[in-house]
Amino acid sequence: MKNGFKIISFSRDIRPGVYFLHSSFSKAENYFRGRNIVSLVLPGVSDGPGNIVVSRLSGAKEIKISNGCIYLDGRPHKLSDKSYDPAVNFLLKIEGEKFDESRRNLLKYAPPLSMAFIFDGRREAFFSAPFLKNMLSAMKNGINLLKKGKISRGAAALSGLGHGLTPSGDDFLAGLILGLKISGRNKKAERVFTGCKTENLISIKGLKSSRKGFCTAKFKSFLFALKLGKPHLKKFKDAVEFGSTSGSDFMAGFLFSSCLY
Amino acid sequence: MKNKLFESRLKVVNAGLEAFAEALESNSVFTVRAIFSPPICGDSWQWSLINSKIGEINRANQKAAERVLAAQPFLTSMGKAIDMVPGMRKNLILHAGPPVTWDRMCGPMKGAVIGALIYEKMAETPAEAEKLAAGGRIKFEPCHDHCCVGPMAGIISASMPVFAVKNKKFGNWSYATMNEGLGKVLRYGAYSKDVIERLKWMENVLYPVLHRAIKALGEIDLKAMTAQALHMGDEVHNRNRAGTSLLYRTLAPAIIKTSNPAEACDCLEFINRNDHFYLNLSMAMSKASLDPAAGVKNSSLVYIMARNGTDFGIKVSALGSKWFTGPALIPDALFFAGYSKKDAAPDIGDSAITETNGLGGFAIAAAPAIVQFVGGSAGDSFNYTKKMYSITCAENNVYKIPAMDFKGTPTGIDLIKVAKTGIMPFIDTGVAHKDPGVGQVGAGVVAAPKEPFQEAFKAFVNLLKR
Amino acid sequence: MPVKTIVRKGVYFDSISLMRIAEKINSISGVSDSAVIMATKENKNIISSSGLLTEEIKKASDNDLAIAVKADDEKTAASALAEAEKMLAGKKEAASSNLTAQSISQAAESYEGLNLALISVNGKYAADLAFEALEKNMNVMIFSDNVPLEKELALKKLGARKNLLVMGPDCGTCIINGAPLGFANKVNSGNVAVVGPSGTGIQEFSCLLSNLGGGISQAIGTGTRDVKDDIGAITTVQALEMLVSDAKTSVIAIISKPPQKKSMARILSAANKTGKPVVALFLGEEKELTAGNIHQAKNLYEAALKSYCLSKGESFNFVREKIYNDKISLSERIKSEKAKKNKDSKYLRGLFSGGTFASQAIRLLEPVIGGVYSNIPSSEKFKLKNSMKLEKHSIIDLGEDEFTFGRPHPMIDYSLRKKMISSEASKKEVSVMLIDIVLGYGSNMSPLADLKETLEKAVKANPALTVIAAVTGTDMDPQNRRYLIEELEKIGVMALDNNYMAAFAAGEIIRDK
Repeated sequence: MKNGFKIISFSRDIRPGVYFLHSSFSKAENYFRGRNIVSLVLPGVSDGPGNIVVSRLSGAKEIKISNGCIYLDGRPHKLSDKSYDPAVNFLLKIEGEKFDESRRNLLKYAPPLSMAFIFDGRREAFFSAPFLKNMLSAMKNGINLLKKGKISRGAAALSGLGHGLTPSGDDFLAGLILGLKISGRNKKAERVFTGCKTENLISIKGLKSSRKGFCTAKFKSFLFALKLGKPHLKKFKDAVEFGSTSGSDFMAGFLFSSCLY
Repeated sequence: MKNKLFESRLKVVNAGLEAFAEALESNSVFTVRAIFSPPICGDSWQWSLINSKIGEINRANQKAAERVLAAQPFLTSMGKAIDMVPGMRKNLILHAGPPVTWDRMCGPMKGAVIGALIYEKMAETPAEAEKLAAGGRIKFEPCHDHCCVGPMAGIISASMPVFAVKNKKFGNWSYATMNEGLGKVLRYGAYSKDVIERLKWMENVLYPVLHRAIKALGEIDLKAMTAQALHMGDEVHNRNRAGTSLLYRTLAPAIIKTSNPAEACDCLEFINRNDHFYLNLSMAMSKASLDPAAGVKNSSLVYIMARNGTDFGIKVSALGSKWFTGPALIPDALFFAGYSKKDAAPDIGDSAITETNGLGGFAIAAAPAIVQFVGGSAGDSFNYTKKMYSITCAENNVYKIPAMDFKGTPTGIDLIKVAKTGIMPFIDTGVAHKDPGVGQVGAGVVAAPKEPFQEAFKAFVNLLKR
Repeated sequence: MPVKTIVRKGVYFDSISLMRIAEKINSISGVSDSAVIMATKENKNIISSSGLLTEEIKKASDNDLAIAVKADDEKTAASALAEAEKMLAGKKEAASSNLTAQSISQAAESYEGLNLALISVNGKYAADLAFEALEKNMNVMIFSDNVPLEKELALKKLGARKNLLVMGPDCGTCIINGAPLGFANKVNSGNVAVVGPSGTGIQEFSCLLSNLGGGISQAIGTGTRDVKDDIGAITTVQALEMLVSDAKTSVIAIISKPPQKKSMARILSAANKTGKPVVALFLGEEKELTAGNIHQAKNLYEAALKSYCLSKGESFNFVREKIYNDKISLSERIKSEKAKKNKDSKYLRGLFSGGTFASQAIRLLEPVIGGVYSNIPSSEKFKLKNSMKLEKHSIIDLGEDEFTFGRPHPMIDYSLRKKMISSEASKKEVSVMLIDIVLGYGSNMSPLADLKETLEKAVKANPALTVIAAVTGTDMDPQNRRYLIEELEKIGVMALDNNYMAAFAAGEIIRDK
């Protein structure tokens, strides 16, 4: 029978405990404990911080993670031998040609309402309706604060702002924090983090991961390629996953980290 | 009758390109995917003929199915095979599945034959037994062709005691041996000294004890017992724990009354240790229920499915007693530690008669524990059973599945529906090691192979032509 | 302007679903502003400064979904919200893992209210499935082709008796209740319905109309053989009858090649009886048919424009003006293309994936540039002996059988077209190459990536060559239309959003002054 539930791999940053169902989607199930989220994801979604890759979704209301085992509504399943280390263990400055190429790719593929407009003013035209115009204004205000060095205030202005289940601003800030961390600017990364005051647990998951210098396997693959100077359009696309807006906003924030001094 | 499509919420069933279903879903349209597969055989001319006679075929199938549903199988007595089984002779060995010659037999079956010959004292050593079996003096015929059924290798020889089950509604009988237990046993091809000794004990001790108990009880209603077992988590093919418990409960007082304490104790202990003791009775009961459905004109109801570890065979009502066969497949199983698919013997045993009767894999929704054991989820068990409704002619009147609101199990496999939909009956089964005498190495689900149904379809169409 | 809002607490919808709901609301005419957003503090500020704030939203929090609509009147606002509600409910059902069934019958038994079966299996089996669906009281769309004619007739007769629509066989495009079925584009919803046997014709019509600012109520494909007398336009007539009582439809368009005699009579009679204005395009029909409520059009653009005018209550003057202005705005570009030509540049080569576009181009161009060779020519004497060996002026339909046997359709797979683009571009006598790129569901998802290199090389190979691409689609389609057009222009291709204008431009560039 091919339909058996199997654990394929899990992230090493996951802590033991009981987690309750938060939300479920066609490719992922999220479980929360306090302000932490653990996600069961299908193989198409990446290994990543807080993720357990499974052969199919469980439908469980409650999961318990203990050493070596995960219980789905009480039924035990052995954890896989394969595990994922979410930490980016190298430093990387995004500048010059590497930055330019990524910026170009982002502009080419990002959906209309993503924050990629910060790299090309013509994109502001996508924000056409009155509501969207106001949204754009507020976003630009936040960006300007960041550019002027008012890091916490800029982060506060962007946190919770924008479209999507995880608002664009939150994804942007998560990318920004990661970019700052891996270029060694830890103090700045902290200042961004303290400015974030969202209550959205899934946003919080992303922000906390970035703050620890963690990222998904697909994003790490993209970073490796950047570091080695190899051509990386496919890895870029995989890392950003242009289906929804989160990836583009995260990448915009990540690239923006090199514009902050 | 106005067409209200434009005023209603659009709800689509998609048959074909997956991209279309995805496009609909990404636009939030309620979409069901009909998993379509083309017929497994038949050109358009043959299907036209079938379609033109479909009314008669369906009526015939209802008639055949009604016979199955009306069955009244009772365990009424026991006896030695030579005395009870029609056509039994000293040099005849019955086996599971369709006809097969010695040289084509799989490992477990050969081992079981060797064991039987030693048990019958027709050979002293395995080497002698092999020579005898290959020599030509020993005849091999299917259990089914002698009103019998046997699990796994299904070997029955003259001295073996058998249960006798009578279908009181139509007066036909069926027979099966007593289940030996698990591990190294004859039906898995083992023929060591312990195996033979155990068979002897069953003949000399267990059989008389059970025989007296059954006589004292008069008869045991197997249909009712099976129906109750279904309510208790059995599907009576791969899971027989409840059936065995119910049988034990029924027999125990009678055994104690009619036998001395020591024997009674040993026999009860023997049954207690074997969760599958009920299997042979659920098989015999199923055969007794299905046999009267044979020979109904124009009926495409399948009344036998059986395997011998080499071939898979079926018999169809309108096509009488002819076997239609194809190669048996290796089950997709969850293997016990240390074993894998390369160790497995192909599908073997007459136990598929339970599925043919609307039990076993067809009733798996009543036994979610089995599905977990073979790697699926409880939800999967529902899907398996649900699928089988598309290829059967009736819902059972007595075997009901509690978790599906007591819906009757899918009963009466329709050859035409199988050919049309390509949905193959599936069987949940144990898997034997391909070498004799090792025993069970796993359990899983196997879909019946297409060839027997394709052959039967051709013959059925030819019959309709006349 | 009234504002209406919904707040959904504690439910999670993924970003794509939220975007879809936003798109849906925005596409409803009469809606001037909207927000579909998580009710965080910052987002609520924006909602407030946009005049969309209500008490309900004020009280909502970070994990709540807020939907706000501002519209011309209460009714529109309410119905926009109702649409959103429907999508919120629908999405939940669809997300509960794929719903499957073993057959159409089993689907009907297991799920209540199924009202349409979309069949795209091999033609051998399609009819049986369609009969099954009709038995279960579902309307049917048959995408499959190679279904025997007798079966089509039997199906349509049964459908007519049961008052169920049989759309097809060989029906590529439908839009029912706003949902794209088969190869279809995401267009605005509105009050124009379109009916006909041409899938790509319906696609282009619906896109042109949507891009003009109009909208589609229903698009009903009838299958390519419906207008033949063997079938007698059963589905076309049935669709017209249904549209009479559809409150959302004010204008009906018929997009077709010329029906055969009996079918034409039935169609015109049914069109008359609708009591609503009907724009009829019978591509290639010489007779003048405008009479009563029937307005004839000669090409897809005219059909879209006339429908638009009727739907907005404007006069047909707009039609003439728009076409005129469009032509004027192309004149500079046409001039500069003509200036590139040398003494060898002579011929036009059209490589189309949509048969209707090819036919339309041939009809438009023959009076301007002379006879056009084709595998679907206007007269026998211009039939190409070998469809792949183009001569003089040639326009071919790559969707015809000789090209598609054993291959995926050219709307999805560009390999054959790319080959032909390269080979034609290398010929000095080819002056203008005309291609169509059809976007939308079912079509090639990355047309730019697929074509870019081939087109770049073609333009480089022959500096005197003009490549014109007609892109059929809207900005809401899954492919990124805006970028496609921009990038095509950057390569040097003339990228237009209109097949008629593309053919016009081609003619102007080819013709001698």
